[in-house]
Amino acid sequence: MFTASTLLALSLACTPEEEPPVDVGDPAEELALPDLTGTDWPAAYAEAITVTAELRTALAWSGHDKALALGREGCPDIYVGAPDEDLDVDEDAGGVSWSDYCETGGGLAFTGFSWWDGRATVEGDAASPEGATATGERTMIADAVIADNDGIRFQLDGEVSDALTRVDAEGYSRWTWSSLIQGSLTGADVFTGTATPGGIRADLYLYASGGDVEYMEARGDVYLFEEPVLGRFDSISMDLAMIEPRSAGPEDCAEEPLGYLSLRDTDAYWYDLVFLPRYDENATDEDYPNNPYGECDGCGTLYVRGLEQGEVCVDFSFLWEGALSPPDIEDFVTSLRLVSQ
Amino acid sequence: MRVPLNAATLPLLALILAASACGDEAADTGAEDTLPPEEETEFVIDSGFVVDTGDTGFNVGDQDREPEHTLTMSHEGEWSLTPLGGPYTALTGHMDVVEVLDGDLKEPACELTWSLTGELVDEETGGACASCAFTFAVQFYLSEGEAGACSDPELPADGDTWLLGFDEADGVLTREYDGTGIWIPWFAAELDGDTLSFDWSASVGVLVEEEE
Repeated sequence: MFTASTLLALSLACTPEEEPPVDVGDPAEELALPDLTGTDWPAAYAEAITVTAELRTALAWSGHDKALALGREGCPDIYVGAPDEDLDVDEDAGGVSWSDYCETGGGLAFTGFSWWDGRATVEGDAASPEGATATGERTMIADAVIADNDGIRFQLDGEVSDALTRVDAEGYSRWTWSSLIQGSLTGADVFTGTATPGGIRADLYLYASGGDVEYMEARGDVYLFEEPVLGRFDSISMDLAMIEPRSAGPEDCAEEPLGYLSLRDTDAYWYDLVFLPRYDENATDEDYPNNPYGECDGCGTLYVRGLEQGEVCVDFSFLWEGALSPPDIEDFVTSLRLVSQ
Repeated sequence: MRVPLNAATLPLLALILAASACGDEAADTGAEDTLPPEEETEFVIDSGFVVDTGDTGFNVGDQDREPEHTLTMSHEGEWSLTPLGGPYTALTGHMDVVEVLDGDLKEPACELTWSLTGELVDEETGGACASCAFTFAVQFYLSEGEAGACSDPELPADGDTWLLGFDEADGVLTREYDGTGIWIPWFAAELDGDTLSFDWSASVGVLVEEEE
């Protein structure tokens, strides 16, 4: 048992010495905003959407297919189902995978694993009044590098998935697709010929419909490993929805997107272009209380560090000229036969 | 956990307070010793592996991984085509499926026998394979074995109908993939008289649940 005197002694022994006052120096200077001149802002935001619309799951699949086709028997080792019980996929998911740390003898190396699964079905007859319905979905989870002496051909560290529904009948067509990329994706077989040959790290969801109603959504973040937008912006962040003018209803604004589109320059400044609020169903009502954001005029308000910098008007009409075309249903066909023969 | 404050616990509390007040300098600095280290944020590709793509190429040495368990899947079968001499309009046949785990031929992991019947698919309206000598809608009836014991995810279900076409030039039976109009080479095949024999085999890795 401690006595009161013991505690007092302990306390006195540990009394800290009085510290001298700290010189905090002069007040910090107000941070200057980055220079906004010399940048073609409409072009920057248009290119950001162009880049984004291209970043679909299909890139990962085609790159993986190309690189995997260069393998040889036993490199990589093919598995039915998941290669590892720790892989976070449904136990009954099935699918096909490879897992290895090998070299083909021709300088092509496979390291890590890749698991994928997909299915495609078509029911009905497109020549009939009822039409045909095609559905496809696929998922790939990987921590994989396929490389040769020229560098990385395919690399995915993460998960990608997409889905397609398509209805075709006499005189009628409607399709929707969605794509989700979560992870790092690089490689010559993936990105050669695209606007982002250096690859990306992204958490990006895209959705588009066409045929009867042309519409798109983009939500998430993209970091461009190389090739910044207009040589200046290395990151894109967005939460957007857009509808094609002829598909728009009386309540829709087809002049500009709903939501925001942000660019980050290589000095880490964000430039936020804010359009109509995306999640306010009454955004286009006359009495929307936060004009000018409520104006459907094709322009967004540019903010830098939260300060308004004026309007930027961007023509996104190029999106409706094929940039959002759906994948083919054939792309969703996966089979052990296609990799084991 | 709550500790009641009473005569027994107060001295202990005082001792803890005293000790914390008079710790060494490192303890006084607090944060770095009491908080977990910040995660480093780097724009690196972390595959978990190192790829040496230098002049000498990638050298795995003795690190090449092999599957812990290997499954060898073998499919073999025959079609008896009628009428004899052709042109063929129907078939009967069978398909045997054997899966062997880790080379254990004495006790295959799975053995199935399917009975097959087939009707010719009309080239004009039935969705026949364009490059095939003939295409059949083949029904699969499981006559022996337990399909659930097999690991091949692409076996037919009992009663399934597959469109299979004989591509004589490539020597394969191609299968139409679930109504998509996409034809995938499925079996190596050879026509001898009125009998078409086919087979496919592959060895793949597989996860096996270890018995506890």
